[in-house]
Amino acid sequence: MSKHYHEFRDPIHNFIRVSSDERKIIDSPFFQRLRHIHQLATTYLIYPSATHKRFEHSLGVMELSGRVFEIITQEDNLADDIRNLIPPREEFAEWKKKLKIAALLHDVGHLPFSHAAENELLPPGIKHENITLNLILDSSLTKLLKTLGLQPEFIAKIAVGPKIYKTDIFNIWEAILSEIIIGNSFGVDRIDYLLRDSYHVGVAYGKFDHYRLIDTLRLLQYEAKDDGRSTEPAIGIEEGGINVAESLLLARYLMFSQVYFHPVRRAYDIHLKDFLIKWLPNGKFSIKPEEFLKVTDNEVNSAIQKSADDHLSVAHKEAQRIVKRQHFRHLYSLMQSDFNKNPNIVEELLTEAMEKYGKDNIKRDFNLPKKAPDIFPVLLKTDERVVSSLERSSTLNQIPLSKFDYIFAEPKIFDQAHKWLKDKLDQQEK
Amino acid sequence: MKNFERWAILLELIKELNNKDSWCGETHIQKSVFFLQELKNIPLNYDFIIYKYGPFSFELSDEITALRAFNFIEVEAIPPYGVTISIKASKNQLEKLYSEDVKKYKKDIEFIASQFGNKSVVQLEKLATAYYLFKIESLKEKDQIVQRLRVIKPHISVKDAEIAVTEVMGFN
Repeated sequence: MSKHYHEFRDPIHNFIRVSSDERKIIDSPFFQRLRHIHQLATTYLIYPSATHKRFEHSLGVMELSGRVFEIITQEDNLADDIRNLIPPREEFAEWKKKLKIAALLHDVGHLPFSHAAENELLPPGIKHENITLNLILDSSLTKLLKTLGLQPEFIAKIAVGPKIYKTDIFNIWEAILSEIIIGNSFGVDRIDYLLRDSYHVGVAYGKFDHYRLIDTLRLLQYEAKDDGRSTEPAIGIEEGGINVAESLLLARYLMFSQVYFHPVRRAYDIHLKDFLIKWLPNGKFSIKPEEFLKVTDNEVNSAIQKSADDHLSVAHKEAQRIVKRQHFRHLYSLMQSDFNKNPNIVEELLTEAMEKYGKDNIKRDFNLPKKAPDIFPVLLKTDERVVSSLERSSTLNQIPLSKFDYIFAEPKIFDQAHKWLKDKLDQQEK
Repeated sequence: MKNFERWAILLELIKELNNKDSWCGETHIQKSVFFLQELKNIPLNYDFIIYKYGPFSFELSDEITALRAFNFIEVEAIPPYGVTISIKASKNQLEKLYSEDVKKYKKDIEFIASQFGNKSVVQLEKLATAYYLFKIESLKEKDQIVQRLRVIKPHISVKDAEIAVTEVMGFN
């Protein structure tokens, strides 16, 4: 008898069970390509065991999307008003199937080394989510989805969400399904990557009790009042989950500060980007599906090694920085106190340092926080009111929002530049 | 427009909303910025789509978070209502650096804050969505806009939709 369900062993979720249809998508070349895309880009150059790939993360996101769907649509967990806004129960199995496929494919458009080299290596205005959209809508994946009885347009819409999918407006149910995957507070993408990344990086602070968290997720709606709240349903938590929600957001803050924004990792990302600009034809990745399929981290790593060994290679210097660990050193981090005195301080320091030490010897990288994840609805146990998370928890508002703005210097001029910067900041202090 | 100029204008708007005793949740800021950009033609260059409670910009939402991260604003939950946003630093360097830009748009900011600051989220949803359909989707007939508004936001009654469309058609 042929099996209809198949299992993957997974260090985070123990077993990930997939249906035969899901397996057909997993076996497709575009999904198999994710076996060769590092989840955390060059982070393994700092944290050596961070070598996990987008493949297992995508499986994890699919698994969690199914679990969250089950919890939030459970009869006892649905308020009457919400039940009227979502499809009937007899359709749930079909919706869950679509949701899981969208979750499985949400990262299929990632470039080599994930986010590391995304910004300047794609045509203007294109991000990896746009490539995901394109692959679902116009590649061999499209045909495969259709043969499985799925509508590629719908799968793409849910997989990338309203920020990227602009062809059509999201109705309430579509917005909920997309929020399950990429939601800012409790999206399963985030839940899986925090757990998986902390496991592979080898740090404990990315962990939180995700079983408890998922168990307390609910579709909630504020009572209409003349204030600033939306009464459209959103994914929130039942009061019993507030502490684990706090620990999720603290885990997120710590992972960003310690891992994702690690200055040396950011320096390697710059070197990787500089290498790719010289190595790629016209300095850009191709977004044509058949070309896109051919380039993974394997091809890039092999090219880096070859270029590092070949002093005539156009990208020799950039490749050597990675292979020989001659990365730029962390010169300056923007501090709130500096910003308060002069919001343009980083631009000014950067311009002056470049004039003094040469444009090629100074680099900058920065990241601003995205939409705040700490505001979500909470269902109170006592009177069943729905209140804001900030009303229920005094901890959430204390967790800093992650950001950074770094300047880096070439190792040979680092000592001089460091002294110059110190004198400059001392002078400003006076 | 450079980001800091936009931030300075956002801060001025939040300050005005606070002055007008607006609840000033994120929805108030989103809709007020939408009207500043589309009704008053201030070149803020936010990309608005129809999402939660009408026109919504993800980029603007990120920038409100950035203002919070840099301690310009603070959020507070006031029971039994939701989250309100207020200016944290009374004097900031952005205000000084970009005072000319802010001055240029001050009247428009005051107008938008006084027109929309005290409306409820439900009212803002109707007006901003109707204006989006009129301006962005270029629907010019009242019936057309009412019909489309009801498709996008089925919870809005025909009568409420008609009142909102009449009001926004009078804006221009």
